[in-house]
Amino acid sequence: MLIFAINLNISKEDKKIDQLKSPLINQNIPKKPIRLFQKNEIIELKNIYSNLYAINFFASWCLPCKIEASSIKLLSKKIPVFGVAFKDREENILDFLESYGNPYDKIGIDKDGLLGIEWGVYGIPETFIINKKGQIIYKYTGPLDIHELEKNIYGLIKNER
Amino acid sequence: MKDKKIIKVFIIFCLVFSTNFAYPKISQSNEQTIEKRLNEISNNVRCLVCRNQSIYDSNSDFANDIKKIIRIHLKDNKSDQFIYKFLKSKYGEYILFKPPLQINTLVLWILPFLLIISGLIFFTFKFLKFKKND
Repeated sequence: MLIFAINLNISKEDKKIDQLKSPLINQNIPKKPIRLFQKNEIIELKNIYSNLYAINFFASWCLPCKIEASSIKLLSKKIPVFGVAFKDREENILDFLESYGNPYDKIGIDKDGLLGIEWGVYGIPETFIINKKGQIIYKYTGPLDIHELEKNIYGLIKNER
Repeated sequence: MKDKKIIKVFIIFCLVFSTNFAYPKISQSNEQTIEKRLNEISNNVRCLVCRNQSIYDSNSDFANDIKKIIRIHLKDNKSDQFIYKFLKSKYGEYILFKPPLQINTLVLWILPFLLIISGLIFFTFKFLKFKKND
């Protein structure tokens, strides 16, 4: 009984760590500018998007990012997805996009992980949805799957439009 | 005339080398203070990818990134409170091991004392009852 109770507690704790409630929900997006991939351009997201969009932190070295690639493609059919290549090398990002497809509207790079900290990222892949006002309305840590898209994200997109 | 020139050269020599010797000492001591404060803060920050470990004890990517941002803030002369507040604003209260004393965390601070006091009262009554029956 005791072992069962301890196990139950541990699995609850795991879930808690997987999906921590972000204090950034309903807050404006971080102001830190983002360098675009393969371009000598630094942008601010609020100057690019005025409608609903998503941000997906990914990396070529992250296995769950490969697993969620098809779901990000599905999401990109509903709203533009801005990809952020997290602590990755240019040639590896290109290989990743070639192998798993490029669902991204634009791609930014976070070479040192400091942009990720601004967004409260702790375990990639992480996906955020930003509303028209530039506020974060949804965050998901871990690989997105069709279940999560249908259960939460599509409804959210419909409501926000 | 020659003496004056020698004195001038000597003074310039002293000034140049005194700053060269002094600078690393100041810089080194500042670096040590930053490392000391970094260690203290890191001990109180939870590594979110490794269960119940501080970022001080962890060598995960996440822990190293957080240490990196703390070091940047410390070099910018930011206070400990500023750094805790910054981390809390990005990751929530959970990232700190010691929750700050405020209204929503008051129960966490008071509960252990309440439990000890109620335990003491309970056992005193039990003991007195036992003694009376005896």
